[in-house]
Amino acid sequence: MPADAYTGRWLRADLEAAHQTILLETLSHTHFESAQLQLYDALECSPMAMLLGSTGVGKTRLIDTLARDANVSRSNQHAAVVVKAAAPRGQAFSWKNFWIDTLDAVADPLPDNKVDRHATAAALRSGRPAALRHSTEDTLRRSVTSAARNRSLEILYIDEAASLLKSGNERVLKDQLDVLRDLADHGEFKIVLVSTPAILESLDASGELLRRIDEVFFLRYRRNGPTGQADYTSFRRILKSLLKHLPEQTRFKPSKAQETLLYAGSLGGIGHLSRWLRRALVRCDRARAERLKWDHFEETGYSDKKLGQLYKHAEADDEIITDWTERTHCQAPAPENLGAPDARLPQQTKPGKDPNFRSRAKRVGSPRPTRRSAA
Amino acid sequence: MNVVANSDVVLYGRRPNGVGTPLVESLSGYFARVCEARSISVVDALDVFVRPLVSPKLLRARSQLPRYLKSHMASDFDGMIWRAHAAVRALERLTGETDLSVHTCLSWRRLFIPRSSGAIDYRRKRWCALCFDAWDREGSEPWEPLLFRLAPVERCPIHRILLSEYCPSCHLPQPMVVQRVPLSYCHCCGARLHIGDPLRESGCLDTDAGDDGVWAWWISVVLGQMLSVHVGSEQLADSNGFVSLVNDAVDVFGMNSLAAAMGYKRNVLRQWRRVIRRPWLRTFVKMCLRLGAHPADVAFPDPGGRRTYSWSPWPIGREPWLAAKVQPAPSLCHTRSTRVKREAAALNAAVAAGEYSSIADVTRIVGVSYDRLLRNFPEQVVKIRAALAASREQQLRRYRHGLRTAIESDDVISLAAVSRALGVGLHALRHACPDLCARVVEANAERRRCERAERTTQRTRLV
Repeated sequence: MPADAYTGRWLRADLEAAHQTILLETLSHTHFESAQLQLYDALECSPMAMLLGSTGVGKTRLIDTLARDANVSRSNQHAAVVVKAAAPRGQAFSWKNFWIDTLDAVADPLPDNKVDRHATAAALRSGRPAALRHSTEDTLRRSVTSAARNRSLEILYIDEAASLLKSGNERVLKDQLDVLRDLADHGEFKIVLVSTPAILESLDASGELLRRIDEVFFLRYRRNGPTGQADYTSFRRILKSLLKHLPEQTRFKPSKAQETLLYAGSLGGIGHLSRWLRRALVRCDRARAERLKWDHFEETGYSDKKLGQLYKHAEADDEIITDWTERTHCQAPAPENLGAPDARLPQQTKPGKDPNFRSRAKRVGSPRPTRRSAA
Repeated sequence: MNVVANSDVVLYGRRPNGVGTPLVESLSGYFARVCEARSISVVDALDVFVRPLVSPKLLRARSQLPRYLKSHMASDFDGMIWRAHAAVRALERLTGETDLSVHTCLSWRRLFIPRSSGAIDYRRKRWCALCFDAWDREGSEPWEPLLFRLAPVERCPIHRILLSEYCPSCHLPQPMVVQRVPLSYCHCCGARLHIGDPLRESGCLDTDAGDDGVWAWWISVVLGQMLSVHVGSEQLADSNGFVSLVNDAVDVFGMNSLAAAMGYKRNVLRQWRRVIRRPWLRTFVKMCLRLGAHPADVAFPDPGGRRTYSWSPWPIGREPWLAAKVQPAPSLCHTRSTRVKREAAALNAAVAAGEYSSIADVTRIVGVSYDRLLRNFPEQVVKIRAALAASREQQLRRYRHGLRTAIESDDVISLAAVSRALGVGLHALRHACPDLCARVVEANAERRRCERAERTTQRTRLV
């Protein structure tokens, strides 16, 4: 067998064990725990929540961990399930496939082979061919509600939720938002949408849905942000703790410059960092090197172009997050400005004159009122 | 609703209905209902979930399952043989429910012939239109009672009406297990099975049923009460109750009259008594009711006393089988057969005449065997024996007197002469009094010796 043949296992056993430990370690950093607490608080208050963050910060790891902890604590394998919203093929998202995936996640029998007996009976009554009718979206949704009730489902995590709102036109988008709203209202479980912040722009179309959703932002460690230095220090600490789990003979100790490059190459996201670390370990193992070196990181890092694109998206996400987390309307005005019109608030019309008001004379078909002369 | 946390439990969402009542749900009906709750086809559920858990002999190939649903699935799942047992175990695992055997006839497997076709009518589905109507009004889901699957049941025990077999719209029969429409719908035209039913529309019970209708209703009531009794898989119906019931009936009425009244052959009754053969369900119920016993009491004897049922259409103490016990059915009023009377008359005549010297003579005179004589006339046999013993004692006394006389006389009296004088055979005399006969022989031998000695002495003196 050739030396580089795939044997089903990329890493040596000790390196694999070290990487699994590293993955566990990525569950206990500052932003991770902060996002976890915020998500619990949001679910306490509203039926739906959104977990938003840039690519590679660790959103999927977070919801997998939360689902596993919920299932263990409640001794119920289906207390919390994670469903990935499949990307639509055409213009609109396929809710039918989504319901089937959800039924599969709660271990409902034969989710892709549901039948609708009432539809078959109706077809028989109207004289149509009597083949067994397969379920429509409505019946699948009812099956999801029934299965969720029986399995005592408490939280449904929808990963890649941006796919849910991909539609060709505004009307379809509105319908899909209504489906989400109904699911939140009638289902007896909480819903968490997991996506990048770009989804917020789609939600402008539904004020009712916005009212029901609380946003939780999973931030990356930004050196140029408002808490830049503290974030960078935290990132370095996390990096050191991850590298500490490598075997003694393989351990790699980066210099300060290399730490900076590691931060830059992972965009401050722990997800990017752990994947880069694994690629470097694989390269080290394949090269039969005794110790992990910086060369391995160089060879397995993102290309400049890719990194540039990722940075562009990450900064766009940061901008959206900044806009959506600003709460200046809640801040009390300075004492010297009390009584003056508040420039922060939206412009209002003069009191007593509503631009939507139409005088009675302008209503179609109604007579103009006349003034009666005094007797 | 119970939380179904176990992933192995895939057919969840419905609990079986009617446990402990006459209208307990059938296992096949429960399976179909839970498949309907999960919106899956019954054929798919059988093929994907049930087949790995049961023997390959139970389920046929996938292509034959639709036909299997129409007829044999009900008798397999609801019956009383190994197929029902396998189905119960599989469904308990798939649904997470316990003790699903109460929805089958498994607890009767020691009571009846094991073939389920005798108990379950697998040809057509039957339902009560008023029961469907009542469930509709309550807003509960209709189900298929096990009672309506039983072959002898023709009427609803609650509403007394005949069970419907055909759709009121298209007048076609329905398969036993429906898989493409809900339970209360017709699989041909999609109409509701109880709407438009003439029995339901009439709004009144079928009271002009006559004796046959009342009899059919009794059967459905008692079978429903039998189904409501067994609530545990450990409790099995016992055939000893039925065997003792038949034995008592034979002792009271006689085999011939009982067989003629019930319409069965004597051989069949004999086999029941010896537990060589078990009855069919309909036969069992008929025998019990006509002999004045409740089938449930016979099947499940209650050592604590009379069982009271949570549901009964009659007041306690006024059940029809109690009336049957006090006044047995008219066809069973002939208490003794004429043959026995004739034999009794012959025996009395023989005893009065006294022309017998042994029991064998009596049996020959009467013309019966000794067993029958002893079974039918035990007192007379005892008297005859006593009389025979007394006469034998008297005879022995006479024999002894004669033999002692022969011993004490001076003349030589041979045994043959004694026997001739007594009027008994030599062997019988020797058999009756062997010691005295031996003494007679000795005495005779001594006398002859003395006579010979005396003659010799006289001759010698003359010479």
